[in-house]
Amino acid sequence: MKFKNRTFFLLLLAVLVTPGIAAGKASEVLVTIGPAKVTAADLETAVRSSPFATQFNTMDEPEQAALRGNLLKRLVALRLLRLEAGARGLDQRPEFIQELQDYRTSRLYRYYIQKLREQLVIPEDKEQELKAAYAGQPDALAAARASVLAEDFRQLRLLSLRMLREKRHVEFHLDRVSDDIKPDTVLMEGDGLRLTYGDIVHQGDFPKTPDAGWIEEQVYQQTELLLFAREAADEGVNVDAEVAAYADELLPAMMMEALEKEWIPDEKALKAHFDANPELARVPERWHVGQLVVSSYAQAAAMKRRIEQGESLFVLAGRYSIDPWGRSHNGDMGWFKEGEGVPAIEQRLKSMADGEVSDIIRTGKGYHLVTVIERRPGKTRNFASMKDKVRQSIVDERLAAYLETLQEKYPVEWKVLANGDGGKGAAGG
Amino acid sequence: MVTAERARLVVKGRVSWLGLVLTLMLTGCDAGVEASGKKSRVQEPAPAKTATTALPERTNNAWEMAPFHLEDLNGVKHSLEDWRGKVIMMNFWASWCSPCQYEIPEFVHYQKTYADRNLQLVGIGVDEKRKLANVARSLGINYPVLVLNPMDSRQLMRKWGNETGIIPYTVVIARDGRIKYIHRGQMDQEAFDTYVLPLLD
Repeated sequence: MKFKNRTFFLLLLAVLVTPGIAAGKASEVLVTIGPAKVTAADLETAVRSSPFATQFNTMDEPEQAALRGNLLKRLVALRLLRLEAGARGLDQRPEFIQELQDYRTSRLYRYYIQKLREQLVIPEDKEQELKAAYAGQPDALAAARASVLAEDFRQLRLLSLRMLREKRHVEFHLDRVSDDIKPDTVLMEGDGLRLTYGDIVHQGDFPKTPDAGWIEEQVYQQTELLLFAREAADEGVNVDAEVAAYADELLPAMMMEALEKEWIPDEKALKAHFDANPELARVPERWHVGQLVVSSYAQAAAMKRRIEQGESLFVLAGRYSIDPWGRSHNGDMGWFKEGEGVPAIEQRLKSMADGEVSDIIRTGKGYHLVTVIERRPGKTRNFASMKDKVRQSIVDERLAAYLETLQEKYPVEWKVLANGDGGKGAAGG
Repeated sequence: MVTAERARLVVKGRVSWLGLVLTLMLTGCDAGVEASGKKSRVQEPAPAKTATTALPERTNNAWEMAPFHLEDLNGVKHSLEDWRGKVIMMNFWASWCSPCQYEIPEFVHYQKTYADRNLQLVGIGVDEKRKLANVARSLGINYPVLVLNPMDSRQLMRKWGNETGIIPYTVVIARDGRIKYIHRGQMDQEAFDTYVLPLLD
């Protein structure tokens, strides 16, 4: 893994590897971004919920610190985008308000369902029976318990639904489903509740009126959702914090979508970027390399002779290589991309046949004998096959600069740095 | 919009053996895949039981089995005998295995809470030492972790009843050496309370 801006991370290192961040001072503010902030707890959550959460724990300390630093920069970028989304009024858009409303309903519904489930208890005698039957088999026991509760839960849910339908005087008007149905046709009505055809089938989602049976099923499901959610809200269940957290995730994403449309209005913009950056299309040659490296020319020459007499470069590398990693991997250096290795060696790799052992190559690290185990030739991709990559390249390029301008508007202060500087421009990359 | 249909799918609780096998696959990882880079043999079907105390050595006493010797993260050699007389939870794990990482903080908590009641966690890390040491540091592991080379792991794991090489895999050994319980996959609080707690002082 590579990280740019290495010195910045070294500055962060001391703070970012301290377990104190994970343990004690969760509320400690690491960065302020205008009126917003990132706390140690926010960063920790980001690490723990990232796709590499498991891998993170296996890394060396500097690598962990670099990754934390990278994530912190991302969090700062997200805060900047969130603030600007607010300034642009994206949070006033009807589709955003609708999305949040739907999210609120689904969270409330979940709370209610959870409450119903918690009301169910396996009777003590049945529980003992199950424990005896599945002694020593915890997974089977859990499955048996779930099976016992499933039917009870189904009944409890139906009972609650019927009760709430009566309580709210819910009436269905499914006879109104026909080919000339309008978006404002009311399909369900109750006290403070209402579902129209437009709520069920969003305009433009379907080329023609969907099947009546499907619409009915949707109406029943949405009604259940609304009834349970309303009941939870009336009981005082508060999901404001969850909804706010969702808005904080959604707004930066909406902001990015808006920016992408600005930066890449059409296919022509993509093609122009592709043409201006030919290196994007270049897929470098790659080699799976075997290597033996020793400290003197004489020893290298001796090794070369032994290989010519039939000994294996890999066996010798495992025994004599002065590169500890290479030695512990018996000279199997893994895959290299053109441009990643030492130029002198790369030049040789390019011209060698697979399986051939090179002559002695001298570098700052010693005297090398290399061989290509397997190779993937380089190539140039065409525009049609790499539009996503071109799009990403434009976004990356523009975003870094754009975040800089946002920092003028919302000053970023890195509390995490002892000397207080080094933060400027850091939310780029 | 989250539909009631989706919520309903979640509560559907019909139990089947297939479901059980799936659970096993989800809660555990297969050490054979990672260790050798590719699957070396056709996977035997997962056994229906999650736990057993029957070991291939025809004894269910740890002290009657041939001892093994492994180095810990500091390079000190140990055998299980080092902790003879304690209630031993021997946990096979690896750094790439997420369920292992989920249960390790629980084990750290058990070790801290029940050390004075003679509980001894022993981790057997089936992985590179460097990665094991990093996980031990990151998760604050407070019990010994012995390093088991993945290439040699099959044999030892089989000896302890782990035919399929599932990870995590935890063997509970009573103070007299009897193997009281084996847990395949991530161990939960209930399993600990049921099978380990009664053995402690």
